[in-house]
Amino acid sequence: MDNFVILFQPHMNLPKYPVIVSDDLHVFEFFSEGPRGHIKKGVFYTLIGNDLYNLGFGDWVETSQDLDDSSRTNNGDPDKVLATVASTAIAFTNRFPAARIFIEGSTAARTRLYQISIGFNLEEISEDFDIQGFTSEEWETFRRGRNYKAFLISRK
Amino acid sequence: MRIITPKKGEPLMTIDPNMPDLNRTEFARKKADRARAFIAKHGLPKDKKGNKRK
Repeated sequence: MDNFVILFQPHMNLPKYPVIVSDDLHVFEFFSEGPRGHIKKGVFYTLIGNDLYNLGFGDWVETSQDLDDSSRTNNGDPDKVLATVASTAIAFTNRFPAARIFIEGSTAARTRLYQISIGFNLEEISEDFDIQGFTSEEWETFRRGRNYKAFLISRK
Repeated sequence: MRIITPKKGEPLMTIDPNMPDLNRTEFARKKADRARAFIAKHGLPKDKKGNKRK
């Protein structure tokens, strides 16, 4: 197998899981490690418009051979998982700097989790990314303390 | 194994050219459809020049 190691900017100074990535950098996999075991996660970027990608993320289910995000993993590592997902966005936009990435949680609670994580790491993320959030009415530059239904990030 | 020169950073990713394409899953299709529907309904942010993005 022809393997490469990609070295990238260590954004969000948080622990992350090692990641395996497809050669086109559209698909990423890693394993969450915790009290519920060794859980395979998938992250992927789907082209949905002009330089516009949807970020998809879920647990790999062997029986269905598909991803699922309908249940909470509860593996005790949400920060590490989200930091790992964020690292895929850095790698992806290093390769595709014009990409805009649309992010929406599968539920309002999950979108709020993303919002909290972005807010917590806003200074670091904002060094390289523009972050827009959609309120109930319009898109605006991401601000802490605001509730958003979706996010759009792009490299500065 | 080949090391790609970093912009800045640490080694955390390994490319697997044989990785299954998760973009072909039903999950990915549904997520993309949902994102397209959201954007069709609410649009996208204006770009830096104030123009509506497509």
